[in-house]
Amino acid sequence: MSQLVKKKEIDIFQGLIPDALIEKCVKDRFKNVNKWLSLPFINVAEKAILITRRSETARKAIILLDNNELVFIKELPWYCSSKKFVEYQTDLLLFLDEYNISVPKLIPTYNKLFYTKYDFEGDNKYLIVQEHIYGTSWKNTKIEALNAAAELRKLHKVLDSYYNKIDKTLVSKTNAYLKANQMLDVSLKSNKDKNKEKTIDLINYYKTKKHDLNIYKEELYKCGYLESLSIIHGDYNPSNMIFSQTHDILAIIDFDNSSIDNQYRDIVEMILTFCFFKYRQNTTRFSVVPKRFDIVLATEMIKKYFSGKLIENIEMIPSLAAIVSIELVALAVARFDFNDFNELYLIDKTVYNSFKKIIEEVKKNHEESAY
Amino acid sequence: MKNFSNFKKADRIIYVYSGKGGVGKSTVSVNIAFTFLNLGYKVGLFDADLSTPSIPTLVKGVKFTDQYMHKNLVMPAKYKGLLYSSTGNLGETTDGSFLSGQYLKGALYQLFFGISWDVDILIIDMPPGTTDLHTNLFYNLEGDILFVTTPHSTSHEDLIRSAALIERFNLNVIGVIENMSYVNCTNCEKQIPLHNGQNLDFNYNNKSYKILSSLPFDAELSYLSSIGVPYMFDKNKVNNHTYLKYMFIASEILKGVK
Repeated sequence: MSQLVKKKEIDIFQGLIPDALIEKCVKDRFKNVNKWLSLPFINVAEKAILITRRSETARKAIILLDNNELVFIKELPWYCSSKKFVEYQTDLLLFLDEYNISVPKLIPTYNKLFYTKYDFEGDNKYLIVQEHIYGTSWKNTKIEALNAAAELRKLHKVLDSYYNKIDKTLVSKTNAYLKANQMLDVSLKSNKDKNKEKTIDLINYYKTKKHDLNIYKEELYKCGYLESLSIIHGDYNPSNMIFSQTHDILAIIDFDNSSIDNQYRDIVEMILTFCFFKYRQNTTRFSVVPKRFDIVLATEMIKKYFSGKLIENIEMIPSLAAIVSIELVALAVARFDFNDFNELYLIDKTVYNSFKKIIEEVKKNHEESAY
Repeated sequence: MKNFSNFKKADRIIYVYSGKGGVGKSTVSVNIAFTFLNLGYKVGLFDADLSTPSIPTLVKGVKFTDQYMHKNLVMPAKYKGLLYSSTGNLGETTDGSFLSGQYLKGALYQLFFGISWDVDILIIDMPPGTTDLHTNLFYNLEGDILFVTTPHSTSHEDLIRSAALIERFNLNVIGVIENMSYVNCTNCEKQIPLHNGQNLDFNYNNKSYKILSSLPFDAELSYLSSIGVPYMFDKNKVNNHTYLKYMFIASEILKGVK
């Protein structure tokens, strides 16, 4: 009999949202729709990619309704799957939409709920349904990067006013230093089981970086990181943007990591992902250990973000960037993107030095334009 | 599916089908497609075996254009007048597309029903078995059935099961191709049968299914398939036994289509 008990880790739906759940989402929202299809292939730069391959953390579905309307269904990933978070996220998206930030429009149920809840083996899971946006993914151009910087500035402004409006106890607070620390722990844990022959290399790396993190933290806190808090996107990178053919940003997506933190974290993550880390084609995984930092583009992006804006405490950016780069590398190690740990030591130092140069340039530019 | 279809009906739609796997459905499909292409027809070839596609291996030596996505649809690859679509051309080989229910219907829409196949003859290479995918296709699109079997009794029994499924959809059967039937001896020009099963037409439910043609086990065809060049790709084989057999099958298909 025990052989008949289902093993919990086997997903019989193979990463797809089951039909019955999609039916519930559709029936609760569209009166006149009788038939619908789930489209398993998504268009990524004109290539057909299985929807399960695109994302590993959250199940998604693209649904074609019989009135030819397309909708996008997304399940909140495990790390933010709570009623408190789904209410925060949907409220935030509605607020952003109201203030003309390009985010996908949420589709409510007849009961005016912006999510669909279901029970999965005793845990509550949440699905949100939104309009499907036709667009292309990142093509690695300069104009996209500059648009992303301008859009982030606009987004941060609206997020500031959202921060002033809400009950701050309802939103979780994050801290770049603690996140990087946690991610290092995760990377060690995931490699201990699966990558045994390299454990010693990894432990050495882990110890060194824990030490480095503390040094960066001292500098970061001195520059006022903890004092100016607001709402951040939390995952502002090219794969969370939908672009038009002319490289404009049609939508910013994926607010699953949105929290209360210093908004400079979004800037730093944007620069690192646009100008330094290299992605594998059509995925969010990194391809090679990053070596070349595009300082020219990064400087332009930061100038774009700060243009006409008072710059305060930007001295924190190099140490913050170094910390975020350690977090990103640890994430990559945890999902086995990189193999040789010895190549990883210098990454945060490259990042720190590059950002030092960038900040100097930006400050000089700002002083000049002030006269 | 009919609510979503952009499908433009081809003059002739042919399902190449057998309940049994490994009888040569894909090889026959590919070679019939190239036979019609050589005869000047515009041909469509759809690999309906979404989870374990074989056509990409059989045609990897032909310079098809890439399959790309236009909006929600997966456009077919092209070589001269031949359009061809297979999930084997998308993503990694190990991407098992375990698709059922609405996802299966969605995949068929994206690869097949949503596409405007502007062709004279559309050949659909069916997977073995009697699955959801078969019912989805047979229910939504009327076409003529070309059975493929070997003269071995295991294959023959599954053929009868397939005939029972076809009966439910009331589809026209052109006939049966008996594949891997014999070898032509290179010394004495005798045909040596490979199986000792029945080499006969059969009846099911008072309907008779006739053998259109028996195809030899051709070592050259087998070799060419393995390097991705369809046997019928090369027009210079005109006097070869197998080539003539395929030409005969093509003419029977044209006659047998309702």
